[in-house]
Amino acid sequence: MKEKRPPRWATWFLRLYCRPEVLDVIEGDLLELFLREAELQGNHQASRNFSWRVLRFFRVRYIKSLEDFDSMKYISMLKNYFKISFRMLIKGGTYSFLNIFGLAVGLCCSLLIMMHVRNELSYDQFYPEADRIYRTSINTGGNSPALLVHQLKLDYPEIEEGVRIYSHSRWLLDLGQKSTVMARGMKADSTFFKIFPRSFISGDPGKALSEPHSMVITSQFALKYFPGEDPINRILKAEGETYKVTGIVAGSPRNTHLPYDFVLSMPINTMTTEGDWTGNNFKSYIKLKPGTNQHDLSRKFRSFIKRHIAPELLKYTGHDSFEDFLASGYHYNLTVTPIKDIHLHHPRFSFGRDGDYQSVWIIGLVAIMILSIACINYVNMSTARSAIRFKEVGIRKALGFKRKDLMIQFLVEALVVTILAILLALLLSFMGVSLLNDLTNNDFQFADLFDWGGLIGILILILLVVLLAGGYPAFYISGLSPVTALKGGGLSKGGRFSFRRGLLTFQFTVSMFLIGGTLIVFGQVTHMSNAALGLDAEQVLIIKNISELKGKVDVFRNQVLSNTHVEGVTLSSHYPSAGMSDWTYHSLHEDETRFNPYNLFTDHNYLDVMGIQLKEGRFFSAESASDTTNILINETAVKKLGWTDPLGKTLTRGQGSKYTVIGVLRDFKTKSARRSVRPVVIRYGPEMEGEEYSMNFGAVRITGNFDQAVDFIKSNWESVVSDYPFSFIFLNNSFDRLYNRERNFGKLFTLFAGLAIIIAMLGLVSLVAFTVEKRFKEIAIRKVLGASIASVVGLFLMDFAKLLLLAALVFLPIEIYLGQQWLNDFATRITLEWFYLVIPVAVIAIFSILIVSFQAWKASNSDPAFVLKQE
Amino acid sequence: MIRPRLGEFEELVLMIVAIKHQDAYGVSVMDEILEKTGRKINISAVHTALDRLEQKKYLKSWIGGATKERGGRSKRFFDITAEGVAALEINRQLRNELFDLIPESVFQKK
Repeated sequence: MKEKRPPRWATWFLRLYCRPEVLDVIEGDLLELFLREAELQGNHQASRNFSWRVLRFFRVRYIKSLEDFDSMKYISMLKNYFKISFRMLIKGGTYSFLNIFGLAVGLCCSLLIMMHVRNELSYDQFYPEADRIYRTSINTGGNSPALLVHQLKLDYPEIEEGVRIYSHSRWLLDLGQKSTVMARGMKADSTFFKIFPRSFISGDPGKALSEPHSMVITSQFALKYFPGEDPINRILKAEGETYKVTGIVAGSPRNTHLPYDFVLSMPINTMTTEGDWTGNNFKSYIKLKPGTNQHDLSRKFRSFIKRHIAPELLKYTGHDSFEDFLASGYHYNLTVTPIKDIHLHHPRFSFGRDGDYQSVWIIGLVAIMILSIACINYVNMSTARSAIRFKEVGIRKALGFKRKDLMIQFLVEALVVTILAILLALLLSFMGVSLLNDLTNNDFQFADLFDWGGLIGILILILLVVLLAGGYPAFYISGLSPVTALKGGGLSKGGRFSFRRGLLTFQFTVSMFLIGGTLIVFGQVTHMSNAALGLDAEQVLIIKNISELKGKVDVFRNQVLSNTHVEGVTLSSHYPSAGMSDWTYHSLHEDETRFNPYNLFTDHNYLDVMGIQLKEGRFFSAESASDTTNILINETAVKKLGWTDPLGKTLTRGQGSKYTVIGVLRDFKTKSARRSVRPVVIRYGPEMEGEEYSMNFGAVRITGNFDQAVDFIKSNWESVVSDYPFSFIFLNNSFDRLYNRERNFGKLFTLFAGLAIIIAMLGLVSLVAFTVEKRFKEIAIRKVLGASIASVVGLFLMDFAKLLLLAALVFLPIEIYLGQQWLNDFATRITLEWFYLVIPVAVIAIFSILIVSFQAWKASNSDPAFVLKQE
Repeated sequence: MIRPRLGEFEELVLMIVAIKHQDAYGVSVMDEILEKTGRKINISAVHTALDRLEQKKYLKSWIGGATKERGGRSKRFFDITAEGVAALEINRQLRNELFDLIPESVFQKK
């Protein structure tokens, strides 16, 4: 028969609370009753009664009082553990230092990466109910028509509120008293602060934007430009219109996709409020009612498009029905994107810094790798060095230490090391924050580490490291039987030894992977920034806002041209490397292909100044009056249209327009090499379709002294227009900036990869040194028996070479797979040549061989007689 | 004559301990109460009463009698002290005197 036992938890609970002097009697009575009832009423009922009685005994009379806790015992034991830990650290000397230092570097990397990743993941979360706010746009372009939000709200009650944003950019604001500033802002509907609530420092949140010519500014902006005064009711000028300040809000934090210094109310009675269904000039946001599913809603939008947008669209494209329109290759749908996803997943929707989810998780992975390398160092060192503690453990066990006590002791040791390491890590992070800021283009403060999330993160890190690094040694060493421990045995057990080798192999693999990753990232960045642009960006200065010169453009141009360093000047609506807008064209030929090329307006000097090559046909000429109906296309556009003989073919934008192709251009880069080359059309600019697309940029080709030429142009600008600042960029710099994100990612990756490798090598140094030390006698005997130094070194090398080989075998497939995965994101990309795989292996191999050989050589160089005399 | 500070339940436990003379401990007291009065008492209440009575010096206790059916745990035996006996007697006398003062007519109401 099974022995009857009362429920374990109840017994445990009783013993936990009950005063020791009455415990025995109470437990005895309870047990007696239990056994009797178990006979009569069965185990189940008896157990229930037992538990009930235990609970009933929970009375003040029987609960332990403070004196019953032998707290001194615990504290003094703990004190002893700490004392032993510090003694072991001091005894360990260099090993301890390397251990702590390695862990500290690993923890520092983790802290900094944690800060970066948390920031990247936190975008727009600060808006209350951010999970109900969505950006809605036509297709994936991010833009939407003027009437969209208004009609959506009418048709769908599940949409709580909506707002349109117009013209988010850097504006020139006239503050009055002849001072102007550049500031980031936008026009928005009066509902703006219902969707994106901010606390109002002054002004009425409900009415601030409801009047035309109103303006809300952020407190930072107010403080900067109106220090010590109340900006409310101040009149500011922007783009020739006046605005009255009606509200001041707390500025938004840095982690938003929609940063701004001010918001202007939407002017009444202009195209922006009347609007239409075909011009996509707005960014629209909607806030859904709680419980609305975004996918259900966007399914409903199909009928919405057919109902409201299609009729207008068809007028313009000339199709018979919306189905026809779709059948001829057009896409037209309304996308709904959560604002929380914009920063990382839809960076092109962002008005601020653009993120990249891929690099975030890669960096996160690197942090985990670094931390695991650092922890492995600790595990390897403490298991390797455990041999010298066998006697201690044996004696402790013989004296009655339980396994639990020993485990606590070793965990306390790990805790001491981790805490010292985290203190050092915080010191390192304090110095490293500015480096991180440079690499991620951010403005983190050291104090950001210590917000609630950060503190919890640090605690979790400590716990994780203590358990990962201290857990195995504690488990392993405490499990030795006292006799084996006292005999000094244990090392001979093969299983554990190969565990350590496994960890070492893992470290080799990770290190190789990090080196390989660095090589690939840098190879790709270099490849992209060296990719042929198809134009000559080296000597070109782009002048922005040239339309501000109004009627005086020609005067300015002639003045600039008079300088001997200036080769040519041209005007255009956009410039390569910056944003361009895509317009819809279709060919008037049998195939009726429609496409959305980048549309560029230029004057007749464009090709010469930009250094773009003409493949066939001719470019615009100043003399030819008919050039306004002529068009040039690039090679990609020819391919897209499937034309074999493009010259003389015609394109249209509907409504009877007709453009004759007079030339084909060689492809040139319009954007980052991350994307493939787009079709481009160029039209003759001086006669344009509307003010929207004015010739806003000048490009000047300069020879000789850049600084002089820039000064000259600047002084000419100021002589022509006094109230608008001269703003320019060099075209090659502008292209270069496209790769800033990748370049910074590369630097970040290199930094952390480098640190990881340093940690791994530190671990290897101390591990090898220790192994060699343990085999001192063996080496001496080998030498006495006639072994050469080379053969002894070889012996050690063979040991590690096997591990290296294994690591390389694991590394290669991972590297090839993940590397290719990352590269697939780029339109122009490097191929994974052999050296991307061989160099990482070679670097780690060389480092390891050097370390092992040096240590082995040092050991075998010592006098065998001296070594053997020891002991 | 001062009435001893003795609750109704305490008095009951005290008498049971006196009845079980030399063999009174938690479980046996509980069983005896059930047998003699039909009252089902939780063992913790019995312990509490015994402790209180000992505090009031009406009971004395000693440890002993670890048996197998108790998992080798000891019993705490109780026996009544002279003060305990006196208290019982005072209580009984007091009750009898009061009882005798009830007029005969009350009993006829039954």
